[in-house]
Amino acid sequence: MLLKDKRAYRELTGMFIIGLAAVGLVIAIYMGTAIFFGVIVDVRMEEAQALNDRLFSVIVMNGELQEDVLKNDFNILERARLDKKIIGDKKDAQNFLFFQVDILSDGESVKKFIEGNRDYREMCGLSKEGEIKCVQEKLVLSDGYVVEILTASNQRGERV
Amino acid sequence: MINNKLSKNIARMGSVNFLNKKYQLKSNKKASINPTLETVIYTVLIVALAAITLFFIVRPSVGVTAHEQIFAKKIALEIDKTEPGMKIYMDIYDMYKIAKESKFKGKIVDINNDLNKVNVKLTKGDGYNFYYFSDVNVVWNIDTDKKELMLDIKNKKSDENVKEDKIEEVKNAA
Repeated sequence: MLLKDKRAYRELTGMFIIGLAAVGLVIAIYMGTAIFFGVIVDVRMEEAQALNDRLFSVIVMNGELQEDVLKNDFNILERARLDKKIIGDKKDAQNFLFFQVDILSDGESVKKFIEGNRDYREMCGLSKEGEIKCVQEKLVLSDGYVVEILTASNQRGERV
Repeated sequence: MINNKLSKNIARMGSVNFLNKKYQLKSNKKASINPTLETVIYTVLIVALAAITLFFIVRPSVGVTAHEQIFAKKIALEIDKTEPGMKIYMDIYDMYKIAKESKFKGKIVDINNDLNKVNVKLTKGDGYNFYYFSDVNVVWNIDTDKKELMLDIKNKKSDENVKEDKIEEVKNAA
């Protein structure tokens, strides 16, 4: 009876060890995979800031609004050298960037430029941590105009 | 004496013995210590094995993949921060070092002007892609002696630049 108990105990112990080994292996593989694919160097804020700076450099010159910004034929993508494949409205464009430029005079919007993924505008307002990174800047110009620029990025890059 | 013998036999059979508790306890103790010790040893061995496996899986891959990502993003951001007409010189000694450690001898950097894509590859596989938003033409070259990457940022739509780029490409190919 005791011998039988011993065997039963050893069988149970063996099963426990195999189970433990399986669990250990699964954890090791899971953690290895998670670390392998999960390392993300987040530069979305830097990218949003670079886009913001680029737009300001196109809209504002010597503290004043650029002369032709308010004209109808002013193409902000072309002037800011922004690629339509990355930030344009086309369906095949990459969808990880957004910008909105609002030019105000006496508190009223006189011109607005919006490009990229429109969903990001609301997400920036909600400021959901981790989902996207936004940069919002406001500049009061010497000629009385106020320029508000909101840029957002969600480019995480891709392992191929 | 008879009682002792009887109790021993009963104990060996594993049944409960009220006559000689001392002997029965000793017997049970002997039976239970070994498997427990075995379990502990096996557990320790499994945990050690899992830790060693994890260490060897994680250590090299994290280093290389993280660096592919860092360099791809760094190059793309540099392109986005510069104006046409500017040249960027980047020290890529570390990239060479990592590629050498992972025994990779292929092309470590590739910039695709049509897709605005920077690809960095420091080990076998397809590497890491990151996109730049600038609509520029990036003429690039790697100085293998200095371990330096040169990025020449040019306007995309200038015919003069296109001609220059083609001459440069022919030179690089030669």
